[in-house]
Amino acid sequence: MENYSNYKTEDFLHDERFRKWILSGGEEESLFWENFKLQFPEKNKELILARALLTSLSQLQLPAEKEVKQKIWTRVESSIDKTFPESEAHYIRRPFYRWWMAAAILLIAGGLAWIFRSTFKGVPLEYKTQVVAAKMPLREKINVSQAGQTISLADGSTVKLKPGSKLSYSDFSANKRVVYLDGEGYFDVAKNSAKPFIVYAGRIVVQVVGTSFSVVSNTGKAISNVSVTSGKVKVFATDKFEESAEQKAEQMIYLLPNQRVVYDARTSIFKKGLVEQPVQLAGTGDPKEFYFDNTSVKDILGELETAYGVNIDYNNASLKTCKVTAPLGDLPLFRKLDIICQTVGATYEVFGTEIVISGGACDL
Amino acid sequence: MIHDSQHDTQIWDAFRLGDKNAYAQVYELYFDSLYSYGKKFMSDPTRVEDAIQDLFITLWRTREKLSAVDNIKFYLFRSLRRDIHRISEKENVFNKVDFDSFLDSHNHPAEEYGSTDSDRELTQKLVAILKELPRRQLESITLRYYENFSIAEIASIMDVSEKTVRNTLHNSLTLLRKNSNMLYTFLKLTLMLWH
Repeated sequence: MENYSNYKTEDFLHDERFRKWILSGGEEESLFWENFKLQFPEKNKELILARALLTSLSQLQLPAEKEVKQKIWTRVESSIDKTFPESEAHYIRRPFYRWWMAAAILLIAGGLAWIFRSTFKGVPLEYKTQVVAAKMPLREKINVSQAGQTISLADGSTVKLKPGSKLSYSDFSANKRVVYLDGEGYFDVAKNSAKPFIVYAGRIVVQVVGTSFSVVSNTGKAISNVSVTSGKVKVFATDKFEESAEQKAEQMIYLLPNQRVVYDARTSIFKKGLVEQPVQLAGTGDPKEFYFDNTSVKDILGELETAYGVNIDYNNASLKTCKVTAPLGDLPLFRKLDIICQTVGATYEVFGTEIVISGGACDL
Repeated sequence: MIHDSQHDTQIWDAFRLGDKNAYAQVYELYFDSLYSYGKKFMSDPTRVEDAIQDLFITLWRTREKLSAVDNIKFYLFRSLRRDIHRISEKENVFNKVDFDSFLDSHNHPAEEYGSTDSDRELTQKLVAILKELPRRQLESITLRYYENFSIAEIASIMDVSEKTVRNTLHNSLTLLRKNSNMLYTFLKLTLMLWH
């Protein structure tokens, strides 16, 4: 505790808590200073002067327009890059990458802008900067309503935007269909194998030919995810993605229907799994047909595998021939599995994209 | 922001070894205050931009020759001021800044907290007084109370003796206090009459 009873105007001005209070516009530390006023009423005059002085000094600051900072940085960067011959630039980059890793912890702790890292590597990592860096003219839609909003794109694809989400897109006249997303969107992409469809969503990039899937990626949040309803989808970390080049297999996550991947930008780790509520794949029949009458568990699971495009494993051979009658209808997949497992006394677990059934006996 | 000299030393050392990310971090951290500081000497924004741009390019090019630094902000402020002074001497002008046109077009978050009318009135009054102060006096007050530099650092940035800084600060603060007292008493009186 500082010795506040001796505080003069100058002391307040150098007090960290005081500066925080004033410079945050009164948002931080206000409780402390409200208490202070009650506790040290005789300091009121000094406090008022200190507050007025710091406030007026901050009003006399002459901040730059928002885009100036990035503009000057771009100029500085291009100028210092030119001063190095190619080989030297390559040489200096390596050892310092490790430095960056060490600095990364500081960066996260300090909540500093990530964009500077990305400007050295190509594509920025945030919606805002990605849109600015885009080569083609873009239109932006922001869903300010309380309900989902469907946007139709030039190629016949549609995107359903959740409230508060943003989408930027061009007329797709280029050889790729590139869009930018911040927030949450469900994509139904028209098939066109000549023009890949690419979604930049902050720290991840999704590339497809023609399919439907949803993407959740919010600026400032480390976790993003992609869930696939139909078709095949490739997901990349934005800092590993190159639009023009062939991607190496180990740098992409390949998703099939009913699969989803969660990306954690803090650890750069992709975690693949099943969507919460798998849906029946298109072209696999009517959901009402899931009425099993005296059918072997093996056949039931086989049908479910085909219908939902999932892998179901079981290690108990006696289940194979076990016959059950189960009107499963259009219940969700995991409800169906609950019922089957209860019937034969087994349990199931989901490991990544696999469903594994264990235990159980067929003594009915 | 609490000045953490150990943290500064680390970033600066990484930068001197050629770590571009440390360099970018320095830029990210201090651009805003440098710009605002430079703007007080040059009213033309493009000249301030150029000065900061040159400062950072020079930093990178000479990084291997730079000495250790435990207060980056201080180092940058001093360098920027020297650069600007050199440019201005060549052209023989230190431009006066037009605060009024600026203040009209900007809203400051610092005004928003639950301040009473009398607080706001005092702030307005101080802004008016500060604007009328001789340029170097306002500069030392800003460096001391807004940027939170020490007297020794301010003396070095402004290239004057510590004694001069101390006197300047003392005089300005006395002037401000006098005005604040007058206003404070006046406001108290009005309040008493009203209630």
